[in-house]
Amino acid sequence: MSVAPIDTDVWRMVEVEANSQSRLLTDTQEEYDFLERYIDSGKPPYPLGKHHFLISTAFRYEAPTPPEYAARFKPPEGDSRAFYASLQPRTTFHEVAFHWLRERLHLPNPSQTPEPRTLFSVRFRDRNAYDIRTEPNNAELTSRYEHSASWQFIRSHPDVNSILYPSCRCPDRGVNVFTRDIATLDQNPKALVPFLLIFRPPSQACYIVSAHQDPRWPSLAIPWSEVG
Amino acid sequence: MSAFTTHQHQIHDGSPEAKGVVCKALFKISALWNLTDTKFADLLHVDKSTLSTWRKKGMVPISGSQAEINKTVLALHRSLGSMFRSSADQIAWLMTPHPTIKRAPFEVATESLEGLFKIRRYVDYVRGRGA
Repeated sequence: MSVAPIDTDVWRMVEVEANSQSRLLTDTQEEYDFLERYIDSGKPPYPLGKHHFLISTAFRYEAPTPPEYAARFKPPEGDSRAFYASLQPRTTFHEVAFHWLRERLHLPNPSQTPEPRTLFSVRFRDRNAYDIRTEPNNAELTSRYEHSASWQFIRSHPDVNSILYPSCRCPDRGVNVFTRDIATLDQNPKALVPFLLIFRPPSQACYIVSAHQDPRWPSLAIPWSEVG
Repeated sequence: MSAFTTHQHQIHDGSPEAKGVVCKALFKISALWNLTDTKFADLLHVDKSTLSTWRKKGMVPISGSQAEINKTVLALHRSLGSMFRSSADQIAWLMTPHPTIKRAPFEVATESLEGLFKIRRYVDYVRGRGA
């Protein structure tokens, strides 16, 4: 395992808050503002500090993690507050496609309604980031189906704040970042890029297309067979 | 003073107006999800006569334990709406047995309060997954 300083931009894709469904439930801006505030009052508070909500939302979960919502590097009964991102947008797309498709493939007839998402980047800095790509049990730590090795790793490395690990969803094993310290992230996102995600039934694929048809962001179809 | 100065009216927590806004929102969810009164009452964990009273008065409790349940249903709708823009997809997700949850989320949510809170937590966590 290597520990090294890192200073780079990382990428994450999130839902678009502006499309909040509360608009459909209210008739005026005042009603909407109240309803959003009312619903929000039932959620854990944002962490202290001045981070943009796109960044701080990932640190807004209850702790400890309910066992059924444990995830990679988030052991059951551990702290759920952590930020996942990727060094390259392509890796982010594959990670998102997996989770997006997993909530659709079991539906009898999922629609092809374009779903808006925002891709954003943020500067990430950690003097002691752990790079597990050279770990002998790297395959276990990044297994598609089993997270227990990653929980064991976190429990035996309580000092670890940030981890770089290969994606198990991206065919070229692009690098993901896990950090449980919000201070490793700049307060504000840099690039904010709107995308649309569309379900393609024949290939059971997540089709990712730039919302503004920006040629810098060519569209990409990621089939379930690639990430599932 | 500018002719364009506007007064932003704010709805205060606990006011009758607030109770009306939440009531209207809940019944809109029922319509969007195409729920019968029986199913909607099951989701809110109240009996049909309570639902009928709310509809007649145009107000629901916005504090206390029932308010937490109502707020959970509102939050569930907001989260599902972020996952799926189409109401048909939202309904399908609720009514179809889920590979991780193992049963239809609606069935779990109406069976017990713990079930309702579990489904709300599920959508919160699943939305945070992925890079």
